[in-house]
Amino acid sequence: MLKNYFKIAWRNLQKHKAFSFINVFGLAVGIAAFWLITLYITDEWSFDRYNTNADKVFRVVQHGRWTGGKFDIAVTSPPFAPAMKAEFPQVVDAARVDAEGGGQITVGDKKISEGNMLFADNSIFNIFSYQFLYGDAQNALAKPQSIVLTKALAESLFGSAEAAFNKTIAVDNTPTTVTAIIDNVPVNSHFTFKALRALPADYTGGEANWGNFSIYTYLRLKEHDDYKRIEAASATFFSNHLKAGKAGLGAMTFKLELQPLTDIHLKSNLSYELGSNGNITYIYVFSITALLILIIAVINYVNLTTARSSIRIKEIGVRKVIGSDRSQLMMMFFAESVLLTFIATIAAGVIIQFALPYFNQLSGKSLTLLQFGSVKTVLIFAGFSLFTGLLSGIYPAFFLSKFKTIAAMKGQLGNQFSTILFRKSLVVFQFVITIVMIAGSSVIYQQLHFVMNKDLGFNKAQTLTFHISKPVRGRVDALKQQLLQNPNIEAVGIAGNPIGNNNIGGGDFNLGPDGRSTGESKVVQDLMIDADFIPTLQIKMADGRNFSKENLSDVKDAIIVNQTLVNELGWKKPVGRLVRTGVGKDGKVISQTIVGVVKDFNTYSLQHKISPIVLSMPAETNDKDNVYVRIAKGNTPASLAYISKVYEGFDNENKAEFHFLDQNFAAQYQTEQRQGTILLIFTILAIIIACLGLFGLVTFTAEQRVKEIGIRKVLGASVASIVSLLSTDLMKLVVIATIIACPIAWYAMNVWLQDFQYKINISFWVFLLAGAGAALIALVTVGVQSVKAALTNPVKSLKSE
Amino acid sequence: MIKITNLEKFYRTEEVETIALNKLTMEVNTGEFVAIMGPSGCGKSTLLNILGMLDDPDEGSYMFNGIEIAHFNERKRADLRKHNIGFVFQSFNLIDELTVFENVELPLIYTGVSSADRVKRVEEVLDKMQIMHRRNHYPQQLSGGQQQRVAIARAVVNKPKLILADEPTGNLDSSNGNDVMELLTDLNEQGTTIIMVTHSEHDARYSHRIIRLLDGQTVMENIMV
Repeated sequence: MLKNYFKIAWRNLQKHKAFSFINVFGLAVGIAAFWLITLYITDEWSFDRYNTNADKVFRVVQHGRWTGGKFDIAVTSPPFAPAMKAEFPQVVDAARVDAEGGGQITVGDKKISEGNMLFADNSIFNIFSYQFLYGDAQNALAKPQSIVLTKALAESLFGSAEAAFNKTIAVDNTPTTVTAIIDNVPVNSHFTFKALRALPADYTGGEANWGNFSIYTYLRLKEHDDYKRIEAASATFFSNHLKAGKAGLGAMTFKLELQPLTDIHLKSNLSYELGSNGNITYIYVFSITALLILIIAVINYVNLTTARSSIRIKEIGVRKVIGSDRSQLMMMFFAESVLLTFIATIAAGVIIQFALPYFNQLSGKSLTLLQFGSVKTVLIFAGFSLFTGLLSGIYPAFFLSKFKTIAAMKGQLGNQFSTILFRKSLVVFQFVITIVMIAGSSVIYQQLHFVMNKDLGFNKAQTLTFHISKPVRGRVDALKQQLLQNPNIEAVGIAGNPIGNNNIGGGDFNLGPDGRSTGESKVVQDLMIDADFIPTLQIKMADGRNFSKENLSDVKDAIIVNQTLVNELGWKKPVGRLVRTGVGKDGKVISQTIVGVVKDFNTYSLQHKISPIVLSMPAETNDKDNVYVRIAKGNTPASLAYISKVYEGFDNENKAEFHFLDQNFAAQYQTEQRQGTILLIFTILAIIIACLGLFGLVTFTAEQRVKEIGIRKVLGASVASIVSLLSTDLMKLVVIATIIACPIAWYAMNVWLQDFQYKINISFWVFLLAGAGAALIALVTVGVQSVKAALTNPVKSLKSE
Repeated sequence: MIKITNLEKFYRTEEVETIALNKLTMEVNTGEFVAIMGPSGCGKSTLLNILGMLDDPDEGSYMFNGIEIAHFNERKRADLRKHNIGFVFQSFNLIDELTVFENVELPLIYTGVSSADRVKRVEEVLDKMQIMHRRNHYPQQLSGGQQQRVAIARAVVNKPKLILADEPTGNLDSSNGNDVMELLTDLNEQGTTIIMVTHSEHDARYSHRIIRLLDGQTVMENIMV
C-alpha cells in the first residue's frame, strides 16, 4: 500500500514539474538554512561539555554596584580560590588561572614567542578533563617551574610528544621542566592554551592581594545546586575579605556569581573575559530567521497544493467510490509531501556541502556536513524530512480528503471562501516575514554605515598604532625623532593604550575640588598620553592647553579632561582647578591641576557612550608602550615599510604590527556586520522562495481563469485591465502585510539598536521602502504571468470548452 | 438483495427545496439486471448514489442484503461498499496517473488483498476483458471502448455482488457500446446483480426489467421477456 502511495506521489511530482520544482527548491533552501544553523548552534552549545564534571564546575565572577559606578568582572584575585575552598564545604576543589603566562620559550638554540600560555594551580586537572599523554595529573603542576605542554606545542618544540616529556626548557630565561604532555585542548572550550605553567613560588594568595583582580577562579562543587548557597553568602564574603581596609573596596552592593561552566561561552559577557565568547542573541536571531525561511517554504507547499485541489478532486472522488476511506487518502497525500521533502532534503545536503565553506568563513567555525557522524546525520536528516513532510502535508491532507464523494466526482469544490481566506492569510504571513527582513537588513546597513562614518572626534583614517617592546620604551624619543625624518610621517605620539579596542582601563577617581575628598567617587577612563598625542590624532581642545614638553612638571601635576567629565560634574571653570585624583603608594593624596579640556572623542566603539576621561602624562617608561603615527594620504605602503625599518633598528626580535584606528573601531562591529550579512542572505532567500510560491499561485489562478479572461476579452477588456484584475488582489495582500510588518520590524530593530549608544533614528521611509520593495518584487512576479494570460487569444481559451 | 421503502431525498438551497426522490419504493433481487430510465432531473442519479452508498437518504428505509443501512455513517457505508459494489461510469473515471493494471488493482489494495493475489486477480480480469496487452498503458493512450473495459475490469475485480452502471455507453460509439453491454450481460449471467441507469432504449433491452422514474417516483415498470 505504502509503495503504491509513493509510486503515485512520484508520478504526480514528475507530471507537475513547475509545482515540484518550486516546492523542492524552497524546501531545500529552507532545510539547508535550518541545518546550517543547527550545526552552528550545536557547536556553540557543545562548548566545555566534554568535561566529565561539566555540570559541577563553576567560574567565580564579581558584580559591584555603587553610586556613580559599577563593575561586572570575570576576574577575581589570588586569595579567592584557597579562601573559598576553606570556607565553603561544598567546594570539592578550586583552581586559579592566570592569563599572563606567555613568554619566550628557548629550547637549545630554538627561540619562539608563545603568547598562549597560562599559569594554573595543579588542581585545574581535578576540575577540567584534559587528556594526559605523558605524566600524571597529581604531580604535573605541583612544583614551581613545571610546565605542561599540549601535544601541538610539544611537537613544534621537540618533534614529538614523547621527546618533550621530562625535558627542561627555558621560559623567559627560567629553567622549567616539562612534567606532562596533554592532548590539544578542544576548540570548543571557552579558553584554550598551548601550555600550562605552575604558579611561581612567590605567588601569594595572602591578605594583601585581595584587591588584585587579575586571575580567574574555577570551582568544582559537590552538587550542581550548591552554587546557590555560595552565592547567598556574597555579603559575608565581601565584608570578610573585600571591604575597605582589606581590598580597599568602598561601600557597594556586592554579588559573587558562580557561572555554570557550560553557560560561560554563550551567556557570559563580562569585563575581562578569558576568551572570546559566543553570543546567545546571535543564536536566537539565527534560529528564528532559519525557521522563518523554512516556514515560508512550507507555506508554499500548503498554498500550492490546496490551490491545485481542483485538478485532484476527481481523482479523490474516484478513489472514494472504489473503496478508499479518508485515512487512506490522507496517507496518500502525506506520502506526496514526505516524498517531496525527502527529495528536498537530499538537495539540501548538496546545497549545504557547497555553502559550508562560505558559512564557515562567515561564522568563524570549521563545521562539516557529517559533523555528527554519517549514520547519525542520515538518521537526523531522515527524521527531519519526515517531520517537515508531515508538517507541510497535514493541512493539504485534511483539506483534500474532506471533499464529499459525489461532489468530488462532479468536480465541485463547494464553498471555497474559507480556504481562499486561509491561503491569503498564509501569503500575508509570508510577506510579513519578508518585509520585516528587508526592513531589518536595511536598518542594520544604515546603522553600520553610520558607525563607520561617524566623526569620532579625531583623525581615524590616517592614524595607526603599534605596540613596542619593553626595551624600546626607554628610547621612545629617539624612535619618534627617527620616524619624523620621513616626510610621509606627519606626527608621532605616545599613549598607554591603543584606542578602539574597547579595553582602556578605568579608575575610581575622587575628583574632589581643590584636592579635598568629596566622599563620592567617579569612575572615569584613564589614559596616559604624551604631549604629542593630541596633535597627532588632531583632537581639538575646548579650553586650556595641551600638555607641554618643556614644562616638566606637567608629568606630575597636570591632567586634561574631556567635556563629558566637565558636564557630568557641572563645573563652570574647569581649567586651573586642583583635583584629587588618587592615593599614592606612600599613602599620600595625589592632587593634580586641570590644564585643559579636550572636545569629546570616542575611545570605545559606538556601542558605548563617551565616558568621562582623565588624560595624564606617563610617569613611568613602561607606560609609553603604544606609538601613534599619523601618515600622509597616499603612499601608505611606503610609509609602513619605513616605520617597519625604523623599528627594526630598535628591536630586531619583534616586528611592529600595525593597526589603523579605523580598523580597530571597525573590528568592534564585526558581530553586527556578520548579523547584517547573514540577515541579508536570509532575506534574499526568503524573497526568492516567497516569490516562487507566489509565481506558482498566480500561474495556477491564471490557468483557472482562462475562460473568464477569454470572455472578458471578447467583451472588450484591455490587456491592462486584465493584468490589474489578476494583480489587484495580490497587491492588497502586500499592503496588509506591510501594515502588519511595520510595528514588528520597528520593535525588533529598536531592540537591536539598543546595543548602540550612538544610533540612527529609524525613519518611516524604511518601512515604506521595504513594503514598496516587496510589492514591486511581487508585482513583477505576478505581472509576467498576468500579461501572459491577458495576451492569450480568446479564441484559443474559449475553444477548449 | 435490495429493498427500498418510501425513500426520500431533498436538496436545499437557501430559498428552494427540490425533491429528488419522493417516497420511492422498489426491490431488486439477487441475479437481476435492472435498467432505470427517465428524463433528466427525474432522480436517477440520486437513486444510484443512494443505492451505491455514496449518499444517504433523508427519509425511508434501505435494506441491503437484509441489513438496514439508511442511517449508516460514511465509514460504515464505505466499508460495506468496497466489498459489495462495483461502479461503472459514463466518463470512465480512470485515474490518469495510474496504468491500466494499477487502476484495476486499486480496489484490491483498498480491501487489503495481498500483493501476489492482486497480480493474479488483475491479470485474470484483464484477460477476460481482452485488454491484457494494454496493461502497462495509461488511460489517455486508450480508446474510449478500451477505457470503459478497464473501468468494468476495475468494477468487477473485487467480485462484487452488485454492479451499478451510470450510462456506461454514453460516451461510446454503438459498436463499442454493444461490446460493453455484452460484457455486462455476461457478468449478469455469471451471477452478478446489475443496476444500470440509461437514456438508451437499446441498452435497456439487455436488462430483465426497466424501472421508469419521473419526478422522483416510479411511474412504470416493464418486465422484459
